[in-house]
Amino acid sequence: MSAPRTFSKDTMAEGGRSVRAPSKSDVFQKWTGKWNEYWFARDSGHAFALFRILLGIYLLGYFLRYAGTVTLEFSNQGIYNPFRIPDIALPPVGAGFLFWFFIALIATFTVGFMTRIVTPVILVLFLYYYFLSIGVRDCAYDRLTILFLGTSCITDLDRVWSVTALTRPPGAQNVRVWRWGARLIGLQIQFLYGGAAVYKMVSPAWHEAEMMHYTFCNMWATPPAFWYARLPFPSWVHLATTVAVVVFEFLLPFGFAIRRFRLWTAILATVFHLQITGLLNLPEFLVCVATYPLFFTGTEVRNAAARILEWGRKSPSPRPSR
Amino acid sequence: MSVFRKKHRMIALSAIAGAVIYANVSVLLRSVAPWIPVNLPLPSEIANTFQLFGMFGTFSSTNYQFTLWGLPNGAAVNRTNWIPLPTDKLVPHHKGDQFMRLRANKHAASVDPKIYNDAMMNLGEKIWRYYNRHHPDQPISRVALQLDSWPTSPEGWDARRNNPGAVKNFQPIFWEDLLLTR
Repeated sequence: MSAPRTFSKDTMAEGGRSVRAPSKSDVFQKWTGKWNEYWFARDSGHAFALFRILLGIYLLGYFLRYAGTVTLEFSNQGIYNPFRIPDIALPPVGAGFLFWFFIALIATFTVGFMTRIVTPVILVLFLYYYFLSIGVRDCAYDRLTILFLGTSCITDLDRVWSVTALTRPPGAQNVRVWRWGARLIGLQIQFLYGGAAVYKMVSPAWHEAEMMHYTFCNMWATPPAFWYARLPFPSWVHLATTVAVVVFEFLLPFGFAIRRFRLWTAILATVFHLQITGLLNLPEFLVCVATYPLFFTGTEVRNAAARILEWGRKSPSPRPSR
Repeated sequence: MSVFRKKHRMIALSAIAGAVIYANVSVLLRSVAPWIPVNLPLPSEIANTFQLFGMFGTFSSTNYQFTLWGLPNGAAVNRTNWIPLPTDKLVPHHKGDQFMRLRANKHAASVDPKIYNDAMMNLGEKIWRYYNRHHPDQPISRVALQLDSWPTSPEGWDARRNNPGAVKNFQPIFWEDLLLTR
């Protein structure tokens, strides 16, 4: 004779088995588990390494264009407008020395040497240049770069594909790092694109065909943009292009979130930014492209690099000339 | 000890992640969906950092460009005496970038008008000093900023610059006597 079954508030009988209803503590643990799994899953460092290299190349390009005008842009004999900081620009010689020291630091960051120390110094110097001179433009790409550098300060960027990795014992490269930095930068990029799309959806200007036409004639437009604006398209083509841009930007966060669309999303978004560079003279937004490796796992990035290298080795070498 | 440190690090990084998500949602709500009755407070400086998507929110059928002017030393303060300064050499950036620098875009966005006024005075003073340092034979005593505007054309940026309808809005932004009293 079996013992009588008892039912309490938080148990239920199911096929002779009693199952406890989840308590608040269980639900909390389940969600913290999911949160930790999302942010603190471990991964090889290859995605971070590619991000570091691309961000370093971007920063080198960004600052080297000032190489010929350091005195004018960053010295106390130049023309600049500090924001919320005292006028602490150095004399021309000191400004030149600091500038080239900064370039050397960015190069060091790019090749991945002592990034734990170098990245915070780059962030501090970027903030110095931002508040002293370049921030006067109040452009989104500079603020994005600050957010990326801030996140990079607490991320392991030189685990692999770096000078530091060459100096470590061989096993150190296999240490897996938290995905936290990749998740945070990825989310920021998704907010950027999604926010831009929603902003355009509610902006009356983006409901007009003239938006695209006049954008290609404005102060940012390049000669190819003016050429495009001169093409005798009917107004519905401009309207369709305007709508296409909004829809594309709206889909980008989802494209990056869904694994099977990720690669094509990254390719199309890169083309999108190259087009902005070519038509609207805004290469600075290429900083977004530097973050795309972070949407992939380190293993995916490593395998892709291995495939590219293998393809490079297999491709026929040119026949030697006689 | 290591587990203890790891747990605290995870909590700190989670807090940073949560703060970044909060800031983005707050800025999104106030910028693009103000009709949603949810107010997530955020200091304006931090909100500005996350205000990343307002580029090209509007269009205009008018072109705008700043040009710099100087009044030669000893010349009477008369509009005809002002000489054009080499704007592209003093602010050597492409048109959009140059416009935002000469407008002091970041300062202009500030709610405190004094910040913008001080920024323009600072800009004028720096231009005055730089120009006189590099042109000791033709010094200037005052600097002005002129906003030129003219109808947009797909034929090119300057295509309709001299057409009827073009406007030149001239504004002195700095003069020497003000420097001397500072």
